[in-house]
Amino acid sequence: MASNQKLTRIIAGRTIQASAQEMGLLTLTFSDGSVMKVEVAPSATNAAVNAGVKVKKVRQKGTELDLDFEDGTTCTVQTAEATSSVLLKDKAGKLEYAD
Amino acid sequence: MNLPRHPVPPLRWLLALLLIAGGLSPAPAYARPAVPVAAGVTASNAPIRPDPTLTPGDTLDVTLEDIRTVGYSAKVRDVPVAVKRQVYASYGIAHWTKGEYEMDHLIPLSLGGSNSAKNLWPESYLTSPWNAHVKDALEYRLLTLVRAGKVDLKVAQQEMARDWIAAYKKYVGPEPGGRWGTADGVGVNAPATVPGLSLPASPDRRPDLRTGQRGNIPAAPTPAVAASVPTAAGQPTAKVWVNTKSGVYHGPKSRYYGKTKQGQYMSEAEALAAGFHAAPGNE
Repeated sequence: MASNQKLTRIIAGRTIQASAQEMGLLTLTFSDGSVMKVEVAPSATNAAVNAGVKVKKVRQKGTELDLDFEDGTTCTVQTAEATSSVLLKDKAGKLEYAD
Repeated sequence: MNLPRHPVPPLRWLLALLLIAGGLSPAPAYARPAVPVAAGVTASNAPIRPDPTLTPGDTLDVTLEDIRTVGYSAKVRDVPVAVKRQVYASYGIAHWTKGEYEMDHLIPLSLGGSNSAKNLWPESYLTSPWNAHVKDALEYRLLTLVRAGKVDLKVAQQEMARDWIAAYKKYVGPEPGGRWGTADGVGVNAPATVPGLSLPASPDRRPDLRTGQRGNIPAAPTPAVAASVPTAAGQPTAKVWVNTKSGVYHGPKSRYYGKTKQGQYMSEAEALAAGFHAAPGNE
């Protein structure tokens, strides 16, 4: 699957502090205070992301978003759409990335 | 013991299996209904407004401060080719050539529009007088007004989504007739018609829109053209090429001059006023 180089360049090396999924929205909070929100497909059941894992790479194709971590694990998220489902803001709320 | 040889399936069977397998791929969550192509519709006579059922408009959760940041649009991912193809297909366009259509964001990225298929439509470059070049002019105009605090961001988004041509007539001019929507002096160089909104006359900065081409200035200037344009360094009225996606402008000597996918010519003074900045080592 193709690498999402733009998002990888931004979040590679960041550590997941917490994750929560509610009402079709997956929220990933990083230890640097940045927050990534992913609109997920209504019918999808995405596995929880473990806290403390460090992001290595992001791959994305169609409605599948894969977060590869440095510990070798991968979190697969089914997004609501092929685009316009991911929003990343820094700790100050400033936009860092949108797809 | 001789075993009967099983014949290799004909190639056409394998192709048929591949086609069937391809058709079983999961449909996107936002399913766009396909629109039957009206007979005789081409890029030259294509609809000048999007189908509101296919392209109602969509925005990102961004603020005015976000879009004021130079290089904001560069933070948004490019629209995947697969999504573009899906949008073309939903509008009944099976074949197109370069230069016929722009995969347009109804609410522009620069104003917080999203990459969702709900915000995309194939907009013709070739219709006249309303076409993709004219809408680009409106987008630049509205961005300037929103950044200056003259028009509310949400209002701009709603007006683009509702009817971009009406928005053009409100914020630029009654009709695109010549440069930058001016027609016999009417348009952006005349005071805006928005009540209570007083705008300074803007200098003529856009290529001629009447022909549906990006003006009489070629996108990739020939050496002769580049040589005739004063260098940008220290000359506020010299033309620079602004990469409107990254927010960086380049002088005539730059290899990016006139070459980036999204961009336009303007004077360096205008580029600076609009919040763009020079590329490092810009000449």
